[in-house]
Amino acid sequence: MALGDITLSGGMRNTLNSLQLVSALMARTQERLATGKRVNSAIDDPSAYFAAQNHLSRASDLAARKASMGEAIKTAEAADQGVTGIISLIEQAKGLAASARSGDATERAALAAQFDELMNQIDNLAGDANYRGTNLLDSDNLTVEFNEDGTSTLTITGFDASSSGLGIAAATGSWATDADVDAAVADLDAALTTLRSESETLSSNLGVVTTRQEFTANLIATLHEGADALTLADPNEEGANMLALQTRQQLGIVALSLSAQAQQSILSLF
Amino acid sequence: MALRLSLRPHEKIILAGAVVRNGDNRAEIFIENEVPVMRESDILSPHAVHTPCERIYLALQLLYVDPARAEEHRAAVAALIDDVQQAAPSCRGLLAGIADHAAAGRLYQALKSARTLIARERELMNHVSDS
Repeated sequence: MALGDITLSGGMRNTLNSLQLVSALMARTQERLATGKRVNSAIDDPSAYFAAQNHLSRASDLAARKASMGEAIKTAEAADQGVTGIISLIEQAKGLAASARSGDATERAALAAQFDELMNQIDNLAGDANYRGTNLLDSDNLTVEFNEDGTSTLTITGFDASSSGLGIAAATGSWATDADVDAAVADLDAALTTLRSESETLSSNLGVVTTRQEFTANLIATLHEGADALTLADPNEEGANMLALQTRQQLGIVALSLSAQAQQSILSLF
Repeated sequence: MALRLSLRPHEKIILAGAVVRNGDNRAEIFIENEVPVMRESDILSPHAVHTPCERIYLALQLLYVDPARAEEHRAAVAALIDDVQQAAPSCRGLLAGIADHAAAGRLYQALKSARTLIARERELMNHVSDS
């Protein structure tokens, strides 16, 4: 088989078939929509047309904002997951410190080396918690725009969640003395406090963005409804117009001469 | 290519300005050149025409079977389309299609679209009689 040949598995074929069905269905729906509008161009009713256009363009601007809010939420979630991971690493480090207190010098040195390795892993984790290039755990800031002209915003401030950023020093003196271990534990406790408070700020910001995202979704729907109300046909009104036209035509010259000509033509034989 | 028509017993058709009626048996005829042909089932009798869109259909039929007075019929089609456009702007797309077909001399297609238009008109009018 040549390299350019494409083989479709049975499953792919089924998917393709249903996609084709859906697109046929959409074409039909669009056809209905195309005939269901009262105002199709600026000539029909300029004020309704442009008002509806305004609504629709604002709705599409907001839809873009809504998408970027979704991205912001994901960025904040990535940071939050990073924080959770770092907290668990710090708790492991505290466990090392606790075992060091009862160990001899060799064990203490080994545990101190493990402690330093954990700090390395914290640095790695903090460095990897980025989403689309923004890493709130590496002091990046994230500005979320809520409205279409970008005047209402929220800035989520990042912080440095690496071991040095959290103020955790490397193990000193191979943890030979209890004082060395105590110093490490004090650093770890301070880091935990910092992380918990940053995590609270993060989740409160996340709540704000989620609320604004829902609000934006509702606003977009409202704008679409508003635009529809301005331009969509009112079948009741059109039906009434048609009945009125029917009555008016019965007395009109065009309709009368039309039926006269029909009577004179071969159509009268039917 | 010839157009093949099979006719039911006693079925009437319009064939190039003549009304042709079939006899007691089924018949099959071939029309070798291009002339206006309308089957009985497609013909809207002038007596059955009441609504604005049915009038459009009638005017198109006249344009099709009575080319001698094409100018008058064309004017009638245009005036009637205009009336409906004013009354029911949502039919604009269909009406434009009919006007295009009629102007280009594709009367059979125009009649076909006009049937869709009549269905749409019935839908609109049902909205009023239902409520």
